[in-house]
Amino acid sequence: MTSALSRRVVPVLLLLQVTYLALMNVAFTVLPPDTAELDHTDAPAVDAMLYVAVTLGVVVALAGAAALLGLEKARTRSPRALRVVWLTVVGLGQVAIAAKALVTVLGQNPGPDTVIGSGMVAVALCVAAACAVEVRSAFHVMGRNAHA
Amino acid sequence: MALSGDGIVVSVAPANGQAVSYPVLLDPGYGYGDITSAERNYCFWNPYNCSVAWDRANTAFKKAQELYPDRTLFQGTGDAFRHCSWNALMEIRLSTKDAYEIATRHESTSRGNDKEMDQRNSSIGRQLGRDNTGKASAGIRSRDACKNGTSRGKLWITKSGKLVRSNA
Repeated sequence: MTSALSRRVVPVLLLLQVTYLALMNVAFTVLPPDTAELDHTDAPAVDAMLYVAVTLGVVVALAGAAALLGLEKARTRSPRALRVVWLTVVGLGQVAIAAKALVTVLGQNPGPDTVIGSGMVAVALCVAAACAVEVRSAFHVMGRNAHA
Repeated sequence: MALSGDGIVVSVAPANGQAVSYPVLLDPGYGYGDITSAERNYCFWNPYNCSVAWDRANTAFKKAQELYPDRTLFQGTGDAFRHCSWNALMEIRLSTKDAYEIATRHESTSRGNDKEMDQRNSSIGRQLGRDNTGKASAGIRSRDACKNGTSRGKLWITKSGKLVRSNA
């Protein structure tokens, strides 16, 4: 059950997060309000570059975690230490996402964004739990190998 | 007419193989700017409210273009009306808190009188929106109130670098 969740469902949830991130960025790029030019809302070049770098970093981290959880090849061929570090980082990131989404949901009036925010919390907690389970099982294997 | 790099190439009855090239006097990227990082942050966590704000911003902008000359759309009466109307519409559709948050984040990169002017007009717009919330045709009432406010000097514009009443 846990295996099915972390190996099948959670990679899909991670890809869903990547898709959300991609869609939002496409919307920001293609659909800024017509007033953006008048109001000079352009971000400074350094900020824009930093934003792109952070976004790409997050996408790589999420897609990598999806691969580590969902693809047998990626799981078996990657060094255990890398897997542990990667999934720990993504898991902690998911806890941060869940916390931020929860604070946002609790601070807003009920509406469509409350539903979306609640979904974000659920998805992030699921992913965080799956990452924790995988990291723990990796430590168990390391422990067994050390005893053998 | 075609875009070529930073220029617009216009062919005026050219002879075979000829083209007339003009320098760019209008920004071809007009309307395709950016949103502030503060707005982007808000939109990530509140996508629905963000889409409503985007829609109302465009509605207010189109009305301002319809009602006021182009030269007034930045720091003039058209600009004042637009911020007033945009915020009134957000106030009616969203909430005071969300309308305030979006409008404030929108001004996070502007400075000086431009920022002060936009914030004052936005605040007046939200008040007008609050006054009309729950009434029939609240959006139209608020838009008309912003239009009247502009002509009666209740809003603010920038003239010669100074913040003055919108009927000055």
